[in-house]
Amino acid sequence: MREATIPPPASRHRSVGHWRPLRTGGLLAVAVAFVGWCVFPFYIMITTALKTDPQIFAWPPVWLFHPVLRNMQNAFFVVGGRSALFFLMNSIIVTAVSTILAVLLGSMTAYGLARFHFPGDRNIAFFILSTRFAPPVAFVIPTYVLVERVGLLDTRLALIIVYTAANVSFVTWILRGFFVDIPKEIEEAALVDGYRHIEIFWRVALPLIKPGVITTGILCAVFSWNEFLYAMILTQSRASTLPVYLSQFSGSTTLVWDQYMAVGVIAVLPVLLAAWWLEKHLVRGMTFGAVR
Amino acid sequence: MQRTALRATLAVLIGPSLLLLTALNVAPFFLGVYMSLYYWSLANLGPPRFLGLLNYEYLFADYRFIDSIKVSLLFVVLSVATELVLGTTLAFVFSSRARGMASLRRISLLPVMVMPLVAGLVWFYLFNPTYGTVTWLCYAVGLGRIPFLTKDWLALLCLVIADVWQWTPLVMVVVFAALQSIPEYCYEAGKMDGLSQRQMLWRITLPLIRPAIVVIMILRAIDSFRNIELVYMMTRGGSGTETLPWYIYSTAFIDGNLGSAAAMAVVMVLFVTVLTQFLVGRLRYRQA
Amino acid sequence: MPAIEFLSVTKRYPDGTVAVSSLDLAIEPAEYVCLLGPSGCGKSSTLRMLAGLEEVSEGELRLDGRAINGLPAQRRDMAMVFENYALYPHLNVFDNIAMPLVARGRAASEICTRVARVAEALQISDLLKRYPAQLSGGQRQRVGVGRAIVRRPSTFLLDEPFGHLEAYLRLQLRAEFRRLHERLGTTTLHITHDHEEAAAVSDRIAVIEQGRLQQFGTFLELLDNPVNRFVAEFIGSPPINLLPAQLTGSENGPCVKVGPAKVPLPMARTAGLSQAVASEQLTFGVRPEDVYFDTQDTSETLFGDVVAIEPQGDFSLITVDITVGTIRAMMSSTTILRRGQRVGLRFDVSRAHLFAADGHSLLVPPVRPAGKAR
Repeated sequence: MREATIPPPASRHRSVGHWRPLRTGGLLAVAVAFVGWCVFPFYIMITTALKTDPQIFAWPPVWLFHPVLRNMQNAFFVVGGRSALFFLMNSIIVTAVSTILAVLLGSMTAYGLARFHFPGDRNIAFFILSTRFAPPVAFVIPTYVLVERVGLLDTRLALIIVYTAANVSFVTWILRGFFVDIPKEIEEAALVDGYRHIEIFWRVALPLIKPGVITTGILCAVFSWNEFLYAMILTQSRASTLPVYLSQFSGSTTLVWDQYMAVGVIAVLPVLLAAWWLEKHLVRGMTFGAVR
Repeated sequence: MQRTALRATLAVLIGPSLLLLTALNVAPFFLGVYMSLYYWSLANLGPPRFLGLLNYEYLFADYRFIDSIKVSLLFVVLSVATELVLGTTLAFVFSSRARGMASLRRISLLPVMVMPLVAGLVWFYLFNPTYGTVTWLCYAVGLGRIPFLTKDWLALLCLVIADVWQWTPLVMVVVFAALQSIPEYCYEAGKMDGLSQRQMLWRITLPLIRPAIVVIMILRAIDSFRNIELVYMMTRGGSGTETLPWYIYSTAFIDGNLGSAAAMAVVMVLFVTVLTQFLVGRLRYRQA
Repeated sequence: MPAIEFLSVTKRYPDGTVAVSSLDLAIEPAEYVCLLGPSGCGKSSTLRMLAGLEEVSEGELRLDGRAINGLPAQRRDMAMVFENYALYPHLNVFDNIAMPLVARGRAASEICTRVARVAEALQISDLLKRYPAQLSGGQRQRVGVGRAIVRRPSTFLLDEPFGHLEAYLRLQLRAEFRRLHERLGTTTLHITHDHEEAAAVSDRIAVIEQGRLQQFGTFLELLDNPVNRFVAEFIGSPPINLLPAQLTGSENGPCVKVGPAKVPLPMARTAGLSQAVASEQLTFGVRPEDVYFDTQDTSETLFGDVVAIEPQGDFSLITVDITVGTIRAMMSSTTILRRGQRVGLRFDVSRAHLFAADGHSLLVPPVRPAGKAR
């Protein structure tokens, strides 16, 4: 009852030894080429930050040179006009506060939506989720008018509020999945022990999803740190953040590339560090309940 | 008593967020609609003049507006398609178990971490016609001194390249995770059933990673449609790169015409909402 | 010529563990063979090497006389039923069963008829549109079987097919598999850790432990002539009684000292005994069905107290505590015994076993008289 006879052995098949190194070599070459393309702009950025002016504008470009740190110093510590340090401080403050607020509010909302079912909870969840898809460019115009009328133009507070709102929906979306995964028995036991719901949230549920909270927090911080449009429109001089400093460059006639690249490196560095630290937790954090 | 305590708890938990989001999303939306009905100028010190739907009429007769939508769509399609093809192919490449692949994969995520503004900054430098590195490379290879950011269709291509550079690794990582999640037994069963490598790719692998690809494509499409950082840093809307976000921004804050810009914003929001609903609806249907 | 041959096959994993050690096994065409052994004994690795899912480290695998060591799994014309069913999650039942035919480019009409016939035979015709996630364990199992039989391969490989099913399903499916085999006549290799399942379903059983073949034969052969202590313990329900013993002599010939009793050994079976084992600690093995109750008090009677009585229908399983251990005996349920009652035990030495310190069997195998049912 056989359909096919056994073919003679030693025919062409993939597990033969001599094909493997060739194929693997090819794949590695492709991978390295891709990574090279990804990393090349970083290299340019760092080297430009360390070059002198004539070297930056040279044609053909200068590949080997003596690195100079003067540009970094100029960018950050030159007095007279605003140095990058000022913008950096604003960025740090706005990012830190808005992240903490967003995580706080978002986790509370996520818990409320995850554990309590009430008429309209689906609609609220949908509403919160859909705010993420709002294009910033469309909303920035009325927001600008609102902020101006309230008198909060060019304040850090305005940015903090805006960023918190932007991040809250993201935090809610992600952490809700995490909360749903917590076995109910733990919370029910706490209820029986006499804890109130808010206490359960604060002392039981939230600590249980710490990895998720940290991951989400870092992502919020990255968003706030990188955000450009609202920062540029809602601030003018006192509350401007790092992206605003960087954007000054475009359209201006003086091209202080070295300083901008230097600040660019500084702007990018915290995120890279966060990503490196996060990478260990990222896969577990994001897949553990994120796909809801 | 239980009920009111529960209600109070819910109010405390969900209330603040809801309030915040209403204030910063719902209110601005209605304000935006309101503004779109007026002549509202940043420069003009007088009160706004009521125009009714006049702004909208002008809009649809405005060739620049129509063009900006076209440019935006073109940008989105080119970027997302390229990211999809490249990202998926690279996901397969990185699935190989060769030594060093895992580290290479992690390094390749660097572009995703960069501030989009800085990405624009660097690529602006690289494409600069006078001293850009890429410009020089093309020159050295014999292609001549290409005016990247000033030539019409080329400028848009530069934007696409910058976007592809930044986001392909993300697509790659998502598809890679999807590939890894395919259980090994599917392939073992396939081998026992007599499927060739090629058949396993088409009948097992691709169908199983399709949901992940669809999701990341939708997210990328939505995100790249509202991209403004790249245009801001690299071309400022010149040379045929006037995307919808840029046109709205320049109308509002460079020309100072808030009313028109608000009208455009309203159209954009409606467009995006319809698109999102359509795409997400299709997604949910498929998963069920 | 044997359909499947393992010639000194060894499987060594990269971390050094040796899963299969120098296996020699020959399976005849249309034979149903069970690989029996405890978890981790190497039976899965053996099956997977035959399937082509694992590489053979040493030795030769032959199919109909031809070596197939390097042949990819797709070309071996074998079908496998996996322990965890391994159904394609994104395809419905029809497509799952059809896949082997689709892989070979069969016409759609032919696929339809063949899948329908197989589904009918396995009683899953009404499930054809469902997806694996919507099926129960038993249903998924049948789909896996359907996928295996739809293309009539030359060999079936079954990897603990009943492992995750409820007891009643296992019994039901055992009978169905046996019937299927009788109808199709395909050479089958079936892996299990359940010796009753092996006994019910197979022609011959290969007992494997720690990667080595212990014994290969029919169930009765394994039951009557276990080649070592492991096989004796593994086969047979209720399990064999094993007691520490020593060789000793008496006026009537060689005896075995079990506790205070001296059990005489039949002369015909002592041919293989040498003086070397006289001083070793041996193990005396006797099956519960070969233990009898004795009212006389002789030097070969063992005395003990009844500890437990388990009725099994016609017979009851009696557990007796003798000082050197416990013995289980099968006793007709008509005899009344009480817990705590003191009884004397006697053994049918023509069917008993003696194992050396390293486990191998010392006595010449007994002959099963024709007509004896058990």
